[in-house]
Amino acid sequence: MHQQTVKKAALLELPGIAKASGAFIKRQDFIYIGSEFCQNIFPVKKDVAALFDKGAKKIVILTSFMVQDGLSRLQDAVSDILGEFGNIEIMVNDFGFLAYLNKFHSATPKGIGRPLSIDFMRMEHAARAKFFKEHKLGRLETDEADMLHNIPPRPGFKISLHYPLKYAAMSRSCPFVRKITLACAHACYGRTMILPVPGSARPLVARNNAYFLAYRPGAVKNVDRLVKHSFDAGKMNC
Amino acid sequence: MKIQVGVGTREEFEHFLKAGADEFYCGFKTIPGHLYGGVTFDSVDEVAEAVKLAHASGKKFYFAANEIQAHALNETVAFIKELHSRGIDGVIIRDLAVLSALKPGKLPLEIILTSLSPCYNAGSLDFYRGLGVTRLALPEQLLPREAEGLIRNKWGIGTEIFLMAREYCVVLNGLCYLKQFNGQCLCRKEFRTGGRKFVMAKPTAEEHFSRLYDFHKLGVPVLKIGRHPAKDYAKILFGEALAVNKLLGSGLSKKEFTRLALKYHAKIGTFLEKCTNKP
Repeated sequence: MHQQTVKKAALLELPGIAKASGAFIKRQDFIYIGSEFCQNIFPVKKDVAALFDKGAKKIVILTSFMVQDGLSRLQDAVSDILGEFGNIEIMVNDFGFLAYLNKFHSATPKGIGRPLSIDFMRMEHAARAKFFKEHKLGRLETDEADMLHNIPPRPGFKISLHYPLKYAAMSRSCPFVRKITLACAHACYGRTMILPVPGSARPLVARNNAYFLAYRPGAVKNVDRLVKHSFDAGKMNC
Repeated sequence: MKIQVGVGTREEFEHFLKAGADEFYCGFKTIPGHLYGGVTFDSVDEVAEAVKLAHASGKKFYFAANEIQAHALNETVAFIKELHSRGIDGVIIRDLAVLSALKPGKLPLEIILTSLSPCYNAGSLDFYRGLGVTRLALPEQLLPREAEGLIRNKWGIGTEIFLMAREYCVVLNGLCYLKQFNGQCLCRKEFRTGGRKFVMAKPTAEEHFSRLYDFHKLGVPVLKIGRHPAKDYAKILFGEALAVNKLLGSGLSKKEFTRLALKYHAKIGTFLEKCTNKP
């Protein structure tokens, strides 16, 4: 079997950057920030600077689907960051943003984030590999440990596995402010709702504008990066 | 607006043809094309006959193949090519592999990007345009003010919008895995958390009609009615679409349109509930 060295990554919520100790940050091979689900959550230059100041080795910026106004703001923020820092990867869920990155920041490592990865986990492999090559994508982010067998060894891109929260659904209507908004005060930060599901031993977990299932990935293969959701710098785990 | 309606049977198609629908689409039994397993046509001849009848009335007929995964790719592409040879006007697609396989311009088909796809800005639309997309079914959770760049795009790509006051998923329906908990749709359930009730946020019917008014004003030309597994549901829904469309075309203010649309909506609501509870 093809053996890979598995790197360690922590996903932080943006306020978690201030709370995270330098020791915690330095223990990680990668720090993930931003959101794959909410277009109102992405880092700006000072967030990235704070992480590198605390000893982050590499930073992965997660991005969501974006409506027109949100896309413009994201492009500005990311250009600002990439203009000053290296050692950055970007995960995309929006093909407009992907096209922008390939046009203006083609050398920046990129991948497909959750939940768009759901489509790619189920796609015919030759078509998927061709797509990744054509669009300069080097990584696929997933939490579908049970679907990894669909990906052949050495698929032409790397795979990150997220845990312990597995995506179940998302809505543009935020569970915390109960509407779709582009101007948001981030009422979701630091909040988790545990929603018991009748007939199921496992509850629904609401974070930001998405709903998850807590799971344990078990033994996995084909993965070279494990991303632990450590929203509050290791102090909050599900 | 033109009205596009999903059909599951020949009888349903003939009903909507007589009732004044402008466009039709169907699924096929062996090709994944509906999240909840909507009724589909059973034979190519059956589809081809419906296409012929639609064309004889100056109407269009499309084929929905928007839930394709790896195992169905080759079969789906071959089937679309066959339907093209039998006169189908276009296809409704989500999967990037299917889009790539159809190759832009190779088959003179209209390619409608399903509302399940994440196309929320003009840059994304341009990306899909490169894959041959000629029309966009606007994602359900897009607000009119956010959609202007998509609707008035510079490439002449058409748009369509679902009648969402009746058909709306609380979560993004192309990316919903809520059934994995207990086999049920959880998005409209009431949860108890910390002694308090929680239901997932969704717009009111009033907000839906208000948005529909704005989408119409922005120039979305097609109002869409989905397929529904419950018998006769789509027929009743089509009646609502006709009534709402008439109101949209009558030059009312948004306030007056919303008031009258809500009145009609409430009138048929009870009847629809009974209808959906039928086996």
